[in-house]
Amino acid sequence: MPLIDISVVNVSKRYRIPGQRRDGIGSFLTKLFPRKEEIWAIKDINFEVFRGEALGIVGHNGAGKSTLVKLLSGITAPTYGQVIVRGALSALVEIGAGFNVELTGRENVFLAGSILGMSRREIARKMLGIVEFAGIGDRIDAPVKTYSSGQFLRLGFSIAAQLEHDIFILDEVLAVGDVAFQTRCFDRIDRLRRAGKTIVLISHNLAAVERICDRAILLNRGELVMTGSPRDVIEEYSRAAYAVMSWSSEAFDVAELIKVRFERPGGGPIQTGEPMAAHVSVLLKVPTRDPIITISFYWPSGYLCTQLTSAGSCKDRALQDGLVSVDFVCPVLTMQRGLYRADIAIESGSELIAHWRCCSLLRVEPGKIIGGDFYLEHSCNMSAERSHMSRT
Amino acid sequence: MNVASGAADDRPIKVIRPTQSVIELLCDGLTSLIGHKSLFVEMTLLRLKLRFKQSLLGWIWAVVPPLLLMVTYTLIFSNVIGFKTGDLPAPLFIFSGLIPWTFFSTSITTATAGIVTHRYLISRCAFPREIIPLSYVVSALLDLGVGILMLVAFMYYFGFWPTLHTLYAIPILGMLASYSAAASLCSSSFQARFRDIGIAMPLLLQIIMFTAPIVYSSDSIPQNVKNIYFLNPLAILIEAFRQTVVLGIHPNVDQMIYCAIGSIIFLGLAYVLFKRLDTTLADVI
Repeated sequence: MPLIDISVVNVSKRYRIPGQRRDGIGSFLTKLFPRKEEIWAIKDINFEVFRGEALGIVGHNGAGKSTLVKLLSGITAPTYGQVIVRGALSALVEIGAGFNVELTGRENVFLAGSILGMSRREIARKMLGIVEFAGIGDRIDAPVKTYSSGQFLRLGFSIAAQLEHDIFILDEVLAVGDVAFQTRCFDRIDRLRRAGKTIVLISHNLAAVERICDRAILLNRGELVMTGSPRDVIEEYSRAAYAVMSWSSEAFDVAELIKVRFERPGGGPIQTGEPMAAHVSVLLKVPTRDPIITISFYWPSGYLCTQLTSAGSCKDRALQDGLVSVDFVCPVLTMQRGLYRADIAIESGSELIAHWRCCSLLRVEPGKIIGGDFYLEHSCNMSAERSHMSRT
Repeated sequence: MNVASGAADDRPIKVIRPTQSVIELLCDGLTSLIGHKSLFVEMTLLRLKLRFKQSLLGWIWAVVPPLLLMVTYTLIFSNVIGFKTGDLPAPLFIFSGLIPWTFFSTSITTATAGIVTHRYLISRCAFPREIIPLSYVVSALLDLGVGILMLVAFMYYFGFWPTLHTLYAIPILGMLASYSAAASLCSSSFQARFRDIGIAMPLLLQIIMFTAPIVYSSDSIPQNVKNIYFLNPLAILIEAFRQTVVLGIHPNVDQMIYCAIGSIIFLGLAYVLFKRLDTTLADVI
């Protein structure tokens, strides 16, 4: 059995938010004994983080992720239950919080480092690495108030990145900095992983959760909904996210969406590497010239993944009003397993005439499993060359 | 990722719970305070550095307030009202009372305001929060050092010499620092919840100032009230500071023991109170 680094046992956290208050007479009494609204940010949660594992925490805004981070790092105590932490824990939660803008970057490194529990000598030893990681250079001796917001955040994270603790809690740290800095952050996290450090990652960046974590938990309104592999948890999370996402349409009274259906020709589940067909039925209420119908698929994170479009295939066609049916066929589905949001748009003469947002979901089951963001259809031939070894 | 469960595991275990017993609270609190001693140093240094950044006079601010107050109080209480200041010239008498008093009032005022200044830090980082008010007390202690140098210069001017008894000032100021720390811990933990204490602070300190022999001599207190008057540790310590440093008189032993015991109890209680409220400080500040 693996060692347990963090145990969260029956933990609940209540916040009291002051309710509506009358001013005037009795306001002193209502302040002393205010009518307070109780909010349970965390409700009776139990889970464990094993040594050397990376656990992702996923959930909507207000699901209790930040509260959970505060409880794990000891910033605040739970209302009920207990958190048991084995080893030196460091929470990389906006460590720039410890900065005083009047001081120089270097002075602030000493201040923030000591908040994280480092000794002066330890910080001095790591100073070079911190400055390099932050990519700040000579600006380290300028007052922090002259820093750009990016420099400020980068310096904050760089201090924490040099820590040699056992357990790291990373709360949205990957949202900091430019591409080069993010790459350094990922490298640093990879190195922590290889060094066998325990990591708890809280992020809205689902791709990062999937890439970094061994396991994930899903929070919803303070409750632990699910524990499992990052893929499963992200799928459940996106399903819940789409359920609350109200599908909206901008049809401008010219068209009505009748049906959207995805299927695998010949039956069976839709899988990576297998063929897929998409059928769309639209009722056009006005005659339309050169309509282009496009299906856009979005990652759970909201980025556009890919599109199917009638542009190019069906050109120069004026359609009468009435039912229009569009069939798309993909010989090989390259999308990886997951739940994708689908939008449908109709354009006519480069003008958007109808748009249905989040009108359907495409569930892709695991098929030909391969690493990376998408599946590339390929073939391969291996043969031995007799005369000489050559690399092509 | 699996580590054999039989492997030796000497990592420290920390339990985060809603409430702790007083013993646990003291043990855990002091352990983490010692673990963060470099933060204590950095926080105190921060106070000193900030005085120079964007301030023209810097260190001079350590001596300007007591000097100005000394001039004002000498004019009002000695020259206009005609309070008797015993064997000492009025300026020296008042200044020797103002030096420890300024330390006390500065520590409490700055510590109370300071906890709110660090609101952002408190709600985002886990560290022993008592370091914030205590660093203000230590920084005020350094001002006190500057003030004492001024006082010695004053004594020289009026023809008084420090004696061996002056060394009693060290335990006296130690006790005063302990009371200041205790009061700062209490007031800052209340300030975090109710800002009223910060608003009331200048008024409160004004009143407290007149409960100690700072601008008047304790000789003018009627004998039958004196026993009650000297139950106030602040009155004892300020009187004793003046007697030992300026007059070179041995302090009253009973009063010193009383103050010492009181300072330990008060500091202990204040620390426990602070740590109790500290568990949810991040939620309410």
